Amino acid sequence: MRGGDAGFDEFVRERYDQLLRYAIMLTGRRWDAEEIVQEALLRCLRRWRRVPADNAVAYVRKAIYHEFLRVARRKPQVPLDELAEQLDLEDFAPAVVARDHVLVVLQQLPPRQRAAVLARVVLDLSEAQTAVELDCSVGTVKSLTSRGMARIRQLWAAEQAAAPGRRGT
Amino acid sequence: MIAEEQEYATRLREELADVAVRASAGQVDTVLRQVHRRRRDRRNQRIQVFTAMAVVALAVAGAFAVTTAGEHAEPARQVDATTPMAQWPARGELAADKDLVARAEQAWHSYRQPPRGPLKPLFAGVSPNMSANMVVVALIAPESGQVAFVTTPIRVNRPSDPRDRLLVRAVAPVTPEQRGVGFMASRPLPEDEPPIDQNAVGMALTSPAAENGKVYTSTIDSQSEPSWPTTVVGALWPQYEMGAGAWNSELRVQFRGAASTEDYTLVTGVSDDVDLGPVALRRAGAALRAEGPGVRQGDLIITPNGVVGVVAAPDGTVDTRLSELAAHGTVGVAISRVPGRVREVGDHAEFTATGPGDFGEEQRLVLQAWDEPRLALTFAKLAGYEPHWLVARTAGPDAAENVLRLGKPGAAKP
Repeated sequence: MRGGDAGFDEFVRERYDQLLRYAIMLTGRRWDAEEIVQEALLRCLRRWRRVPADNAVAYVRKAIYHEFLRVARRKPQVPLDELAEQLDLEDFAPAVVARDHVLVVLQQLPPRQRAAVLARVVLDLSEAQTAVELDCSVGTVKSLTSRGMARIRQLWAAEQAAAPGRRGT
Repeated sequence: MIAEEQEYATRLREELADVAVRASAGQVDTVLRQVHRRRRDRRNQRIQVFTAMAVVALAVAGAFAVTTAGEHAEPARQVDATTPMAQWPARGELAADKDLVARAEQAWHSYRQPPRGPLKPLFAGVSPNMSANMVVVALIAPESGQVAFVTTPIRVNRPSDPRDRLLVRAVAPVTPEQRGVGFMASRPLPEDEPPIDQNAVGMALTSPAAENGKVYTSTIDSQSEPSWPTTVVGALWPQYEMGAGAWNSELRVQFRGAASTEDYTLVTGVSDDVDLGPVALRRAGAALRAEGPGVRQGDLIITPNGVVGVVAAPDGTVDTRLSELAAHGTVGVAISRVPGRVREVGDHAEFTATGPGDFGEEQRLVLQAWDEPRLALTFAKLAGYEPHWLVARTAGPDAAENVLRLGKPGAAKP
C-alpha cells in the first residue's frame, strides 16, 4: 500500500509495455488495447493508495481484463478477415511484430476463454491465481482453459489441413 | 494439462513471444498526461455538481431570508444578444466583493499599459480547475476598448485566496459589438506555483444571452460538446495540455436560432512572449498575401484549425506549400510524435515517417513551431494510404476563419 498517487507514474513507465502487450493479446488490436489500458490505469489511479505495491501488475492486469470484457460486450466482433487485414500493418506498426497469425486465432475464442488461456499459458499463472484475476472459481478456470485450448487445437488442425506447408506441430 | 494440450500450449507460447511491444518514452508520457488529465476532469465534474447543489441550496435559503446583501449586487437588467459588452451585468460568485473588484482595478491601473477611462467589472469568481486554481476578475475599459483578466497567482491542487495579490494575466482588445472575450496563457507568471504538465490555462466570457459556448482548440482530437462547465452561465475555464494556446484555439459562441457559432480569437497571457496578431488574407493574382500590422517574412500564417502557410516575402506573400513548414520547426504525427516529412506531389501532399512508431488514418500532423513544445500547430490529417500517406490540410488558403500571424518568439522586430 502507498499514500496518494505516489509511485503511479514510475509504475506506468516501468510496466506500460508489459500491460499493453497483455491488452493486445486480449483484443488483437493495438489501438483498442491502448484505450483499454488507459481506461484501466485511470480506474487504478483513483484507488492507487489501496493497490498492493508488491502485486500492482496483477491488480492493473485485472482492471484491464474487466475493461476488456466491458468493451467486448459493447462492441460488435470484428470480422476475421477485417481483423487479419488490420493486423497486417507492418508499415505503421513496426513496434508490434510477427503476431498477426496467432492473434487472429486467439480472437476466435470467446473473451473469457481467451483471457483464461492467456493467463494460464502465456502469463504462466496458476489456476488459483487465474481464478483471482478473472474473478471466477478454479473450476471455471479449468473449464475455460480446456475449452479454449480445444478450440485452438481445432483451428490449427483445420488450418493445417487447408495449408499443410504453413507450420508443423 | 494433458500432453497434447501441453504441445499446443508450447506452440501458442512460442508464437505469442513474438508479440513485442516497445512504446517510446514520449508515448508513455502522453498516456500518463491523459490519465492524469481525465482524472482531474472527473474530479472537477464532481466539484461542479457539488457546487451546483450548494448554489441551489443557497438560492432556496436566500428566498426565505431577508438580508441586505442585495445592496452590493448589481440590479437585474434585461440582457439580450445585442447588449454591448460594457452593459453586461457583472457575473460570478465574487462579483459583489467590492474590495476585490477595487483591488483588481488598481492592479490594472498600475500595469505597464494602464487603461483609459472608467472600468466596469464583467466577472469575478474562482476557477473550478483545482490543478491550476485562480480567482479571476474581468474588467472592461470601454473607452480604451479593452478587457483585462486580473487574477490571483495560480495555486496547484489548492484553492486560491481572493485576498491574495492580484496580477494582470491578459489584456484583450474588444469592440462594443463583440459577444465573447477570453485568453489562454501557456506560461505561468513568476508568482504562480509551478503548473502540472505545463498546462495552458485560460478563461473566457460570452454574452449572458448566449445559448452555449466553448473554447475550441485544434490540439486535441476529441472535444466535449459545448457546455457551461461552471454554474456561472457564460464563464468558461479552458485548461489544455502543453501545445495549446491562443495560437490554436478560439472561443465559439452559439446563440439560439443562429445557424453557426460566432468565433472569437483568444489573446495570449502577458507572460507568453509570443508575437501573435490578426491578419487578413488577400488574393493578388496567383499569389496569396497576408496583410496586417507587424507582418514580416518568416511569420507563420495560422487559424485555430491549422497552418495556412509561411510569409515568404517582405510584401506578405504567403507560401502555402506544406513541405516548407519543416524549415520552421519539427514536423510529426500528433500524440505518437512520429517524426516525418511532407512533400508536394502534383496536386496533393504526402507524408513519410522518418522515425519509428504507430500512427494511422485521421491522425493529425503537427508542426512544433521553432521547436517550441508550447507552439504545436496542426496543419493536416492523414487521409489514407495509397501507397503513401496522403495528407489533407486542416486550414487552406481560403480560410474564412480568424487568421493570425505567429512570429518567431524573441525575433527582433524591424
